[in-house]
Formats: sequence, structure tokens, C-alpha cells
Amino acid sequence: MLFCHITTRIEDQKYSKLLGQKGGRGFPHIVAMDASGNVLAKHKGPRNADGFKSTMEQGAETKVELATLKKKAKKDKNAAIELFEKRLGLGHLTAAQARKHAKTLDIDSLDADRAKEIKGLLAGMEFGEIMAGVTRDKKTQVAAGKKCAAMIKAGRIPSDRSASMNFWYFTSIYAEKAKDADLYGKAVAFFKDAKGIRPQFVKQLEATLEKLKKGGGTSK
Amino acid sequence: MDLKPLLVLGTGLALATGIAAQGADSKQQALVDKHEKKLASEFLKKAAWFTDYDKARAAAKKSDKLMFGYFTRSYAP
Repeated sequence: MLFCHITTRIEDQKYSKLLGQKGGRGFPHIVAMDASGNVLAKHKGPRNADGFKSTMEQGAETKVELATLKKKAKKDKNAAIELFEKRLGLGHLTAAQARKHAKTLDIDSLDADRAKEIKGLLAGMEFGEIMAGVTRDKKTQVAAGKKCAAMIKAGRIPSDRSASMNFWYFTSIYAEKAKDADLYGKAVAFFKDAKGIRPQFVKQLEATLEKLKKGGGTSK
Repeated sequence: MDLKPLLVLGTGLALATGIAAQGADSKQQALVDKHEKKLASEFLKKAAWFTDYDKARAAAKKSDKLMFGYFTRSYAP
């Protein structure tokens, strides 16, 4: 079934936020979905017939996998957790639903690495909801950064790379505005460790950090 | 009391509001035109694409098929 969604900026467009709801952050965004609209696979390979076919096949496999796990999950806690992780990764749950599920599944009783990974995904979802309110207006970016700072304080930090980049970027914007050198330093530490970050960007951040430490604020 | 300045101001405000409203209307119309143009794209004619999310889901349920979802935009290339 071929479905094409055209995002517009027309006021009151029906399903104007559908792209974001299906995990899209840019265009084009290509996914396999079930008849309820749940994403089963996200297209990552070449944009040709073979690539699309592969994505749809992956979606069909995921559909079977999810149905099997759903049956098992009624009696098997491991299956329930595996189902939860898969649904989380596919974006089937809102942040609120995910947090509720996580409580009932008692994520903290899992081994430390697995619990950390799931909590990282949950934090990523929470941040995704914060991101939805961000525009080119610096005030919205500062506001988002403030919420990120609160998440950091509570130990909720996204693990997904793409979410992490934006998370720490907005944190740095807020930290600079609030003249919080400690918080800004955490953002700098993240970008220094992260792969694929331009060295000039890190140098810029370090220079701003020095100014914040000296208490002189920044040129922005 | 000289009402002329008030009248001029009032007329000016009405004109400015009217012009702003017209400006907003024409921007919306431009977006509607772009959307219509996108709906008339060649690729949408070459196969049986659904562009209505509700109808796509209903058809997928009826035929027990998955949906190939292609998300694009009308307001930029």
C-alpha cells in the first residue's frame, strides 16, 4: 500500500505533525508501517526499488516478531522487556506511555547496562518532546536547554547519538545564557568525546567556556 | 475637539490591518498552490498512491498489507 504524506505550512492542515510522529526529522522520510500506522522499519539504504523492497521485507519480519513477542510477553518478563525495547526503538510509544511501561516492567531490576540503555532511550523520547517546541527563535532554544539542564540534574541523558547532539547543543545554549560554566563544561566534554565533530567547533566551545569561567560572559 | 487626526489614524490602522491580513492570505494561498502542485507530481500518477492517511490505513487494514510511507514536503525542494 503506497502512502505519500505531503507536509505543508498551510494552517490547520490535517495531520500536520505526522512526519515527526513517524520518527522523521528531515525529508524524504521513508518507512514501512502496519495498517494502524505503527512504524515497523525505517529506510536507511539506497533509494531504489531494491532498497525499498528490503525495507518492506524488514517491516514484515518486524511485524511477525512483535506479534510473537506480544503473545510471549503475557507470561514471560524477558519477552515483555524485549517487546518494550523494540516498541521504544520504533517510536510506538509516547514518552509518557514509555515511562509508565518502564515502571510496570521494573527496569531498575535489570542488569546495569541494559537498564542504562533503556533509560537512555526514554530520555531521548523525553528530549524529542522538548525538541518539538524548538524553532529558530533563540528563546525557544534557551527554554529547551533549560529543560535539558533539568534532565541532566535528574540523571536522564539521551543515549541515541542524534538526540545527544541536539540535547547537548541546546544545553550549551542555555548554559551560556545562564553563565553556568559547570553546565557548559559538561556540554564541551560531550562534544570533545563525540565522533565526527569539527575541531573548530570544539575550539569555539572551549573558548566560550574559558570566558564563562573567568566570569566575563561571552560576546553573544 | 479635532477628530481629523483620530480619523486618519483609524483609517491608517484599518488599512494596515487589512494589508497585513491580505498579505497573510496571499502567503497561505501560495502554500496551497504549492501543495496542489506537489499533489500533481508525476510520481503520484504512476502508481496507486494514497495521500490521505485515514484512507491509506483503511485500505491497508482491508487488504492486510503494510504501508510504504513516503514523507515529503510541498514548501521547499
